[in-house]
Amino acid sequence: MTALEKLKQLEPIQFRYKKELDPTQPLRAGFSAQQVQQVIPEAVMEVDGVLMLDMNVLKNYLRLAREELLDNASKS
Amino acid sequence: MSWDWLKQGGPVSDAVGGGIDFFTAGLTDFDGRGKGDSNLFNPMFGGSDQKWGPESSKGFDFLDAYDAFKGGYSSTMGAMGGSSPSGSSFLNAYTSGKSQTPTTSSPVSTSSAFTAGGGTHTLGDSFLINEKPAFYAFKDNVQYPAVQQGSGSSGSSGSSGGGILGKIGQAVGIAGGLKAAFPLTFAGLCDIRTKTDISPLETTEVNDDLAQVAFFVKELRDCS
Repeated sequence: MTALEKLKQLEPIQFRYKKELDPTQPLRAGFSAQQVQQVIPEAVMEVDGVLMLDMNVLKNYLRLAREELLDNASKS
Repeated sequence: MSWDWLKQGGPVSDAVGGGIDFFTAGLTDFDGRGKGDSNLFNPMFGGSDQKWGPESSKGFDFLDAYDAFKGGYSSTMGAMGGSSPSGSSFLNAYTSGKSQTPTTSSPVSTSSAFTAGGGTHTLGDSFLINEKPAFYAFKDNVQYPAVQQGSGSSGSSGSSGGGILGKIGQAVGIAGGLKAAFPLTFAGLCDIRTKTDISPLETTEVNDDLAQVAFFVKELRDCS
């Protein structure tokens, strides 16, 4: 599965952090680490039971996806 | 005091009424002759015949101005308007090869420690999204008590009340060590257990790097 296909399987969400964590609770955009873990497990790191998204890994996927898009655009 | 005598006609009342009408620029009509050309005395809106307006056929229009403002705001910030503040522009950048320079500052993040050295950076061709040493776990939580407890304690997992917040606090404390060791590490606190009001992505009030990536992925999905 290509990077582009994997990225398409990610499900972007909007959310608020729990009030204990973020009193102002603005609406944010992002992902669920649990869902990302199912698609790109290497992009998720667990720190003492808490899942975090490794943006460096995700960045590499974005770079690869971009190259795929450019390749597709040049072929078409 | 009654002002009806002004409307009863006669030379005196007409003269006084007309004078008042003149000085109020037509807002009143005591002389009973109508407002006449009073709308001409309205340069801001161009008057009823637009003689005072710009060279265009229409005077200043608040609705047009508001639409222009709203459009510009939603396309640059995406905070209140539009369902897709930045994703489509990113996709266009990727497919066309043109770089974009969106700002990534968070309107709610006041943490100077993790926004220092950041600012505008490119997310187009070069993908320099980790240009700044940003730890989302820090940037988003450094100001919150639960996290501060965790970051302040050195591995005492029960100090912040246990549960997920305690874990997060401890994680951030660990992440602090990681950040010191690897300043370019770039992580987002994306654990589903830290979130509420979760729904499919439509809009955001925080335009940070993670949001931009999320909107890019959303555009990918929408276009496929």
